[in-house]
Amino acid sequence: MPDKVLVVEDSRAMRFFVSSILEATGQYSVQEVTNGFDALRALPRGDFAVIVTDVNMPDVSGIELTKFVRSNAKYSETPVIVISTDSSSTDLARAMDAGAAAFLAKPFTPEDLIKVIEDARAKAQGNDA
Amino acid sequence: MTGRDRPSNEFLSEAQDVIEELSRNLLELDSQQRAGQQYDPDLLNAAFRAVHSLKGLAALFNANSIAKLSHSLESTLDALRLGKLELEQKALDVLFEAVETFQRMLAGFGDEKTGTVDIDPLLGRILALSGGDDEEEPATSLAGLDDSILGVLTEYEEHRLRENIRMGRRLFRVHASFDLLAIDVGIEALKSKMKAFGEVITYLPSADASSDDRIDLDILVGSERPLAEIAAGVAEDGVTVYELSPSGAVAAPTTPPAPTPPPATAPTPTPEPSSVRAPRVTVEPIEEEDEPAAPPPEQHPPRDLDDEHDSEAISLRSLSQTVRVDLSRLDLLMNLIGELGVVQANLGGTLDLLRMREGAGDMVRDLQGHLRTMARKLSLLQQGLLDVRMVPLGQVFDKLARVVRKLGRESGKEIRLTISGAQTELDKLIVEELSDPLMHMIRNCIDHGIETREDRIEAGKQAAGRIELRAFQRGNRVVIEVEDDGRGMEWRKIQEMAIRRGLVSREEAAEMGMNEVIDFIFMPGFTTREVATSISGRGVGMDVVKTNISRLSGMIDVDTEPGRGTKFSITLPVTLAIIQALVIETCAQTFCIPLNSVLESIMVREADIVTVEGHEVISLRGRTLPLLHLSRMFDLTEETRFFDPERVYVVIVGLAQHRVGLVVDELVGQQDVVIKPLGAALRSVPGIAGATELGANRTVLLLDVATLVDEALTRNELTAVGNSVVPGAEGAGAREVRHDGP
Repeated sequence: MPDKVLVVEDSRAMRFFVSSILEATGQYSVQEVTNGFDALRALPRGDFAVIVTDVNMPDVSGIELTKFVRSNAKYSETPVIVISTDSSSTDLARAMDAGAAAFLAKPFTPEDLIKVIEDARAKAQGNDA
Repeated sequence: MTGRDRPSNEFLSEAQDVIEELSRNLLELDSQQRAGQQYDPDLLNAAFRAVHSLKGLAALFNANSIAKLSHSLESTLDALRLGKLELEQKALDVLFEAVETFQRMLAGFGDEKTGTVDIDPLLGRILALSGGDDEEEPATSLAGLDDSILGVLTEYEEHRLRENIRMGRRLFRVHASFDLLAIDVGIEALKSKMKAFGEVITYLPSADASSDDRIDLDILVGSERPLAEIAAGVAEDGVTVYELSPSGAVAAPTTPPAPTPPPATAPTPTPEPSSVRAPRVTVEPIEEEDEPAAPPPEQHPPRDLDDEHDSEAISLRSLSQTVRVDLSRLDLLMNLIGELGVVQANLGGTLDLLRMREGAGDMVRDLQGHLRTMARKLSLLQQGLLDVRMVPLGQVFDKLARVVRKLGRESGKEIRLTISGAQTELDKLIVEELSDPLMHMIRNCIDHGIETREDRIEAGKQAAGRIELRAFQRGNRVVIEVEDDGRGMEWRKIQEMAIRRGLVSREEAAEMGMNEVIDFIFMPGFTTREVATSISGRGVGMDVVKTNISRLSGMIDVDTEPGRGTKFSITLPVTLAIIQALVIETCAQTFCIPLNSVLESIMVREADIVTVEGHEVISLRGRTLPLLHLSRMFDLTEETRFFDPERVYVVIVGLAQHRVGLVVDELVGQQDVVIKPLGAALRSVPGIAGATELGANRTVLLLDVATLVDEALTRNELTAVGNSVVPGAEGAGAREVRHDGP
C-alpha cells in the first residue's frame, strides 16, 4: 500500500506537478485538494503520511492549517511541508513557527520535493522512537 | 494546442485562467476607483494571488520571462495590498499593460521567435511605480491581541487587521461549529452574513473539535457595528460572537438567542446551513465509530480497502465539480452522433421497405416506436454535447472592457462602457473567433464614433461617450449589439467616398437608398477618414469584421443616425458543429442550405420578378432583393427543372449585411446535418461549403451561402453580364456527387 499524501494547493498545474512526482515514485498516492477548508474535510478520514501545503491561500492559510494539524493529537506523526515562492517571507517563517516540518521554495526540482518529504518523515519517526 | 505535451497544456490553460482572473479583478478595481468608492481589498488581494500563482507556475515550467514579469508585478501588488503603495490610475495603467503583455507572452509560449517579448520597458515602469515612496506601514498597536491569533496570520491578514483597527473598527471573534461535510455551504452562508457587517479577516480552525465530523472555526471580523447587532445578525445555532477589545480584555460572549421558529429577520435568502446539512448526511451515512470524542488514531479498527474507498468518496469530495476537456475529443463525439443520425435515417428507410411486406404490421409498429425513442434520445444526446461546448461571452467582453479603457485614455476621450448579457453562451469556437471582429468594432466606435469631449458638449451631449455592449439569445441564435452614442454615419459622405473610390458610378449612387450606401463601409479598404489614426489605422476596417462574421455564418446589420450614434447587430448561430439545414431541390438535385443563413422562404409568381439592367430582382417589403437561380449558378440541366410560373420558391439568405433570394424548385424540409469536408475534386467549386449525408447513403452538397451571396452581388455590379455565365467545369463537378441508394 503506498503512503497517502495530502496536497493542498490552489494552482492546478502546481498540484499536477507535485502529484506526478510523488506518484511516479510508486511509494505515494496523492489526495489533492484546492483550499484549506477542503483540507480540513479530508484530514479526519485520510490517514495521511505527509501533508504538503501552499502557504499563501485565502481563508484558511497554510500557516493556519499547520497550526491546526500540530495542535491536534490525532495528527502528531504527520509532518507538514509548506511550499512558498519566497524563502525569506514572513509567512513562511510563521508557518515554520506554527510547526511545519520543512519548507520548499518554488521553483523546486522533483528531487528536492522527494528529499524534503523523506527527511521530514524520518525525523518524525525518529522523534517518535 | 494539440502539439504540446500535457504539462505545457496544463500550464497554458491555467496561466490563461489566472490572467483572466487578474484582468477581471483589475477591471472591477478600476470601476470602483472611478466611481469614487473605496475599493474592495479582497479584489486587490485576489489580483496579488493571481500573479503570485502565475509566478510559481512560470518558474516551474521554465517560462522565464513570464516568471520575471510576474515577480516584479507581485512585489508591486504586494505593496499595494499591504497599503505600502497607493492604488492610483497610473498604477492601474501599468497593471493593465502587464495583462496585455502576459497574454502576448502566453500566445508565443513554446515558440522561440514569438517567445521573446521585450518586457524591459514594462519592468522599468513597474519599478518606477514603487520607486522611492515605499511607505512604512504606520505601526498600529496590536497589543492585547492573543498571540495564538497573531502568530498564525499571514502578513496580508495582519495588514488587514491593522487596517481595520486604523479605520476605527471593532474586532470580533465569531466562533462557529460546522458539519465537515457541509462546511463549504455553512461557511458561505456565514461569510455572506459577516460581509454585510464588515470585513472577514481570516478563518482559524480550532483544534479542539468535539468529533471527526465537525470542525470549529474562529472567524476574525472587523466591523463598525456593536456586538449585539452582529450577534443578532448571525443568529444561528452554535455561533458565538466575542468582541476583542483593543485593551486585550475579551468582552463577555454573546450567544445569540435560539432562532425563534420562522426567523423573519433573515437578512438574505441564503439557505440556513442546518437545512442544507440534513439531506447530505442522510444520503451518505457517516461511520458510527467516529462518534466518540477524538479517538487517537491507533484506536481506529483496521478497515478493508473497500470501506476506505467508500469513506473517501464521502469526505474528500472536492468543491470543484468541473473537468477540462480538449475540444478535439468533443468533435470526435459530435461526429459519431452525426453518423448515428445517418444510421437512424437508414433504419427509417428499412422501416419503409418493411411496411410494404405483408403480415409485418406488428413488427412495423414496434420498430417505429423504438425508432422514435431513439430519435428523441439522439437529439437529447446531441443537445447535451453542444451544451458542453458552450462558454459565456463574458470572456471576450472582459477583453473588450480592457481595450475600451486603454483606447479611451490614449484618445483622450472619456468613455463609459456598459455590458449586459455577459453570461450568454456560445460555442467555444465561435467565441474565440469573435474577439477580433468585436475588437475592430470597438476601436471604430472610439476612433470614429465617439466625438471629442468638446464636440460632445457643443452638441448638447454628456461629456462622456457611451458604448453599450449587449448580448442576448433570440431563438437559436445569439445577438450581439455594439451601440455608441457618437456622431453616427453621414451616408452622404459615404456615398461621395464610394464614388470617388470608383466603387459605384455617380448615376448608380443616385439611385441607391441609405441602407445600400451604408453597406459600402463593409468594402475592403473603405474609410471616410482621410487621416489614419493610431487606433483604427487605415485599411483594416469593417470588411475584416464582415469576413470574420460571415465565416461564422453570422449576419451583421447597421443602424445609424447622424448625430445620435450607431448600432451594429451581429446575429450568430449558437454552434457550428452540427447545423440545421433546409433541404431544397432544383433540377432534380438536392442541396442543403444552412438554416442559420436562411431568413425566410417565400413563394412568388414569375410575374413578380422584374429584370433590372439584365438581372432579376423582386421587391420585398420595399427592399429590392436580387435573385440567384441555383440551377444557373451550378449550370444544371434546365430540362429537368420543375418550374411552375405560379409557384416560384425563393429562399432568402442573409450573410453579413446582404440579402439574396435563391430561386429553387422545391422546399423539401429541415434536417440536422453534420458537415463533412469535401474531397479534393470539389474543394475548388465555388458555392459549395461541404457535403453531408442524408439517409440512404445519399451524399448531398451543402451550399456556401457566403460565396453565393458574393456571386449574386458581383453579377449585380457587372451589369453587362448575363444570367447564365458560369464556367461549365464547376457544374460538372457538382453533378457527379449524388449517389442514389441501392
